[in-house]
Amino acid sequence: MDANRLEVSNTWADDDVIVDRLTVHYRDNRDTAALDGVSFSVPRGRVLAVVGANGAGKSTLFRALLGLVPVSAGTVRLFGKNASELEPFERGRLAYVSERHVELEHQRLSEVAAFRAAVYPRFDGAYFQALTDELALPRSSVIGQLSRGQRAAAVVGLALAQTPDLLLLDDPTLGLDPLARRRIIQAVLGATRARAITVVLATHELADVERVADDVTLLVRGAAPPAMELENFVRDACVVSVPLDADADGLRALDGVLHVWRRRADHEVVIRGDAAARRTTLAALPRPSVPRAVTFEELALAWLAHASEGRS
Amino acid sequence: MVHMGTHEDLPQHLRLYTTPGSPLPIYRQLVDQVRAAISSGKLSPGDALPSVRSVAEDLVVNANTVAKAYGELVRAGDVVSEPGRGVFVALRRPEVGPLERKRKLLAAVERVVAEAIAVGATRAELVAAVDEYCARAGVLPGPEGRHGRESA
Repeated sequence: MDANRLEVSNTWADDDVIVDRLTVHYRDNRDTAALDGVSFSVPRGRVLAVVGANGAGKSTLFRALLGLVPVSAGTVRLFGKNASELEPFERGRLAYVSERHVELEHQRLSEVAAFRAAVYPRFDGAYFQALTDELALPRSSVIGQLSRGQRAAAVVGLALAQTPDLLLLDDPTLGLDPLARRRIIQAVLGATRARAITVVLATHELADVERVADDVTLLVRGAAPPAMELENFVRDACVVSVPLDADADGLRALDGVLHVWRRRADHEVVIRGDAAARRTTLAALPRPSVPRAVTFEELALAWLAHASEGRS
Repeated sequence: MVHMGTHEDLPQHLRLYTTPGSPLPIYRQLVDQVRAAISSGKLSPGDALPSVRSVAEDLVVNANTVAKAYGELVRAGDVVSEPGRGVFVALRRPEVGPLERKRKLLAAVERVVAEAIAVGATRAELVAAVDEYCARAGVLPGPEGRHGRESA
């Protein structure tokens, strides 16, 4: 099979990011796939949230988006070109924030900004000044002396000041307190209001996903739902409770049952599928309660639990 | 300093908000709130809605989400968009046929019932809550409405 041939519909043609059946193997273990057949696309100006368990291949995905890992199968295309073949001026259109927040410890923030301005033609110094005010960042402080939240805000601010067309954010708010998280989210959303920026955001903060994302994709082993609009994600699912005397394994085996949470008084069953499919599943359940709508968090958790059980 | 914007040029009684952990997507919450404000008279025909930008900024949500909510309100005829000027409450409720009316009502009830189930309410409690809400908001007057208003 020719891995470079793209079979995409016309609606994808202008998308800034197209990941198509991407498979990447670990360098030291050719038998194990770090990513196995991952597909999604992000149209210009939209925000895609990537939600996954630790070890689901999130960091590998970002390295693949940066064109830094050998691809075993499938393709990664940015701005219509293979991610590993971007010219320097095309690379200048994207900014990346790693979850490690690596920066030069002994430099002042203002010095780092000056360096970035010299290296990145699109770096906007005045915008960076405004961002540091918005993010409550002391420009004259040495990076190594900043708090964890300030350091995260600094790397996000530096990335935004590059005025990228594509922003890759690998868990920028990991481990931050709520206020630090909120400031960073505000800064990113502010940037997307000012310009059409395409964003790929990996995060474990499910509440932030609802605020920030247009689309969501789950990075899980085995069968995952395709990337889709956030509201469609929760629309095709519901929750019912079933008496405890029902056999949990039997419930799990039913078509359309995504996950069964065992609770003190009953089983809580998360069902997926369109309305007709859900009715079929409901009819197969013993004495189900009236179904209720599912929250994004409930559904994401059910998918992650489903994946961790290793079912296909 | 985190900047908190205000809707300075807007009717002070329209306060949009988001409910974290709701089964309703944020855009749907916004649609429902604007419709409730219109049907309760808090927003009058011709009143301006806050700009997409200011709502997105104030609520710290994606501007596309707000734009989508406004788009739905425009399509449904609740509001009209005047390019370059803003979005305004429609002067007249759109005419809808009885079937369409029933369908919309059932769709609205479905969401309310789902929320009621989520909080563990009984059917009687739900009906009582609808009466109480209408009485307080002074909308949809009926036989129950008068009692509700007196007790409120």
